[in-house]
Amino acid sequence: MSSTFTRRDFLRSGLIAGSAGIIVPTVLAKGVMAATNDQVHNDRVLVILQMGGGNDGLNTLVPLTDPAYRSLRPTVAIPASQALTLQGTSSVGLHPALTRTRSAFNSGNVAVVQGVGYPNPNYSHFQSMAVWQTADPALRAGDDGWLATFLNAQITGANQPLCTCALGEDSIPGEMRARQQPPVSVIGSGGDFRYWGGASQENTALSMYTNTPGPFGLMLDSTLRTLNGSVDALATASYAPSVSYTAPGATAPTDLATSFQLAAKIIVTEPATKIIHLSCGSFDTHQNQLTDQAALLADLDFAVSAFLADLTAHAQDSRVAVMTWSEFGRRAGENASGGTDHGSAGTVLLFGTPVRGGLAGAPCSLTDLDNDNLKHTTDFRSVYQSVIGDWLGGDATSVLGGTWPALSLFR
Amino acid sequence: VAHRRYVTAGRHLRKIAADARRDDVGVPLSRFTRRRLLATTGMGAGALALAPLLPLSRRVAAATPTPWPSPLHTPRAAAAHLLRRTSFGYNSATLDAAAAMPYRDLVESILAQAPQSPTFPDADTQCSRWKAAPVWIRHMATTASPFPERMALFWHGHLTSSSEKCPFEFNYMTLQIEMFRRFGLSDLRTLLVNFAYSAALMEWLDLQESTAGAPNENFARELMELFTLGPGNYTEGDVREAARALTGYRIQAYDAGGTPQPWPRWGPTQDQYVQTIHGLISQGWTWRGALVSGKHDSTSKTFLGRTGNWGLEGIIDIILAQPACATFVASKAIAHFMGVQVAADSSFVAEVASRFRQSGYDIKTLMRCIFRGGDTAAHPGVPVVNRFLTAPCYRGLLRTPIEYVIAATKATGWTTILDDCDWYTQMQGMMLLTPPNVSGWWHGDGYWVGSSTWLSRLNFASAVAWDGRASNPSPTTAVADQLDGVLSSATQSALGAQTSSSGRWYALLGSPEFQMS
Repeated sequence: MSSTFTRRDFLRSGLIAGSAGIIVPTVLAKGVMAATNDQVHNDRVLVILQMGGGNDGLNTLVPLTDPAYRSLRPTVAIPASQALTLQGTSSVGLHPALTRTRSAFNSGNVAVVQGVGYPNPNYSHFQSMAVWQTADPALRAGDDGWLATFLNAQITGANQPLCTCALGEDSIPGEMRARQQPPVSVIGSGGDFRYWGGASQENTALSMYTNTPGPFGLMLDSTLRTLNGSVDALATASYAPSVSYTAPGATAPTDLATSFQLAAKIIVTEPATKIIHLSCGSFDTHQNQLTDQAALLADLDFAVSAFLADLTAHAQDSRVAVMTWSEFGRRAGENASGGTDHGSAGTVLLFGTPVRGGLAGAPCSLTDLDNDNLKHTTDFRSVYQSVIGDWLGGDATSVLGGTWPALSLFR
Repeated sequence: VAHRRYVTAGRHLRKIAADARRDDVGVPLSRFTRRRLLATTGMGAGALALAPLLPLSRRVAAATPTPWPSPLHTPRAAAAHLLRRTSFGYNSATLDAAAAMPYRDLVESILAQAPQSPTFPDADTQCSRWKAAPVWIRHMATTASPFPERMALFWHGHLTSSSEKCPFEFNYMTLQIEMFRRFGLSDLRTLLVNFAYSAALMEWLDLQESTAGAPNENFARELMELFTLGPGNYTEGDVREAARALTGYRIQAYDAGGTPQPWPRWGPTQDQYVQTIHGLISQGWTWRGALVSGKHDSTSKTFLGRTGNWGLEGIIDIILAQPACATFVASKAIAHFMGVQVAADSSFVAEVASRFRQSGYDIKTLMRCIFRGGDTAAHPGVPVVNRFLTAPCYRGLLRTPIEYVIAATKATGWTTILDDCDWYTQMQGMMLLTPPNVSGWWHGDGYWVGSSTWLSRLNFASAVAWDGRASNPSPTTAVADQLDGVLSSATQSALGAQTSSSGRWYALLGSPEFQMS
């Protein structure tokens, strides 16, 4: 560990530890945020939505005319008559649960990237997740999360408590983890986000978590500062949703919709916010795929749609893009359980006013398979290249350790 | 499929809401409403976000300049350290008794604890996750044999299954936890075979669905990747061959005498079927896997280089013959009971794994190696250092939410809050009987650290400190016994600044020191 810990790392850790005690109050940050970004000078926000468990890309963007699709999947194929047709293509349609997504696609505000994967696919959930999270299929020991790398190097405001958020989570997501951990506000989906004992207990906690010795000291001290900063900021944030986050026919918002509503509140009230991570799932449909995936996609479809409508009503939609990812797509052929096993290439969705709508990448062949699995057509790092360079306005090459052919995903 | 869940805050929480009373320094406590719970799915997305390749604590360790001063050379601190890691906390009387024993005798007495089973008032309590989890938590907090419960919890977080995929009429998770309680200190083969046949696992990883001709790979893959060997010690071909060997196993009903019985017929209504199943559970019926030959692929398979007509036991035996299995399981146990820093020492792991394997995968041998730091029998006549009692092991772990909340009830003697601890631990990121995904919970301690999970720990400390004060012993004694008298200067100052007993308890229970093991 010491061999990989460079002097630069040490200096940075000192800076972070040192700055932890003097986090700029959010009210000040609002005024200076745009000017303090190290390399990135814009107010754009990336919302990254992890579709955990491995979402089946073939049933998300459904082949309508390829006979191989139906022969590979006698029971779990989406019938062409049920798939939602899209403007500009007759060869693919959307999963029938994605009704609002279809409308947005036809309005030019959704991009669907086809055949996204990486060479020598890994079929383990956790390893393939790590590949996507670190942008490194080689899984070198000590890889940092790609978003953490970006934040550390290119966003000075990354020390703001709400610059980087993970909502509906308990832990820092892998994309945001690094040896030099940038602050992440990790806010779960339950409980109220405030100190029951008010300011005195908040201050007592802060005073105790100061220069804590031992291997967890820095992590815990930093967590307390991020926590208190976020609690304070959200306690005074003035926001009311302009749309309902409860789906028609439901009695309450789902967890995902609740997290999206919190994301909207943060974006509307906190100009320092740069990256928000959300997650949904599980899409690990080894069995009962038709029912389970439909329910999950319907939840996603409604929650994203409500979120973007809310942002539009608050005149914030032009600053926000949503990108989904999943650790892999699923096996081309079905198994005996009405499901599909772990596979390779999948589908990435991008939503938002700034997104250049339409299909990107190329569909995978359903006949030229690699040991029953799809051969990817688009490297996932090309998506990252576009998101970092074209959307966030950063330097993708230094984050990805190379340059990948960018896709035209933004206006 | 994600289910929305609600729970009503417990009695003492409602009391706070009703009173909206003030604490000792005049700050109003916030009101409670019904709280929406973290809803996780079978392969829930929340913790899927965790990158297993990036152990946070190792990284933070690189940047941490100041170690805790270790008191483990004193018998009392060594006993407290061992109790923290083999039970769910202690009070001063328990510590007094433990500290009076020679360390090795204390280890042996802990390893010898006989498992005790919790008492379930009825079959419904065994079946409902919402009723079963609080029963288990109270049992962990009150049993005279906490170590078998720690082991059951360890295996529950490693060899995962979840209430999410169990049919609600049945007690599959309760049966699996009882199996961990019974076999958690036996040998790894017995444990793995019983785990593979447990109904909860068969539902969780789709063995119940897997059939010759179209095997479901779910269990075959995770058995090797997550449970026994780790990535890199098998091929995709091994996954497919093992999946074929694992086809054709189905959950079978057994009566109280262990005789197979026909599956209870569904109906005539859902409610009546539930009554039927609950009646059978009350009579001692159980449910576990059995081979159904017509659905099993009985042709030859080549698995990890060995060709034969393998079935479930054959696959497990071949896995156990791999040295990587001992290394992988030993490193999991070392990380959980000694910390990820020790688990990163590959020569130490190899030494423990070697003894584990030579013992026939005897789990007590493994745990003895851990708590005696590898000092058993390898160097006759030569004094060796007990790694478990060296400075890097001191406060080298964060308490999991379950350990934290129960330890607080032990330290204060206030146990009413145990009824609400299922809710509290969920807010802290741990939903008992419902792990976040198939990789379980034991990812190194950074896993438990988030903004709202840590806020929930502090709010729990607040609830205990203010609601439990009538029965609190002295916080001064607790500083000595619970924190070994080893405090950071910041915690020392914060404790000194408190003007009430409740304030001192809040500081003590919320302190970084009390979060550590």
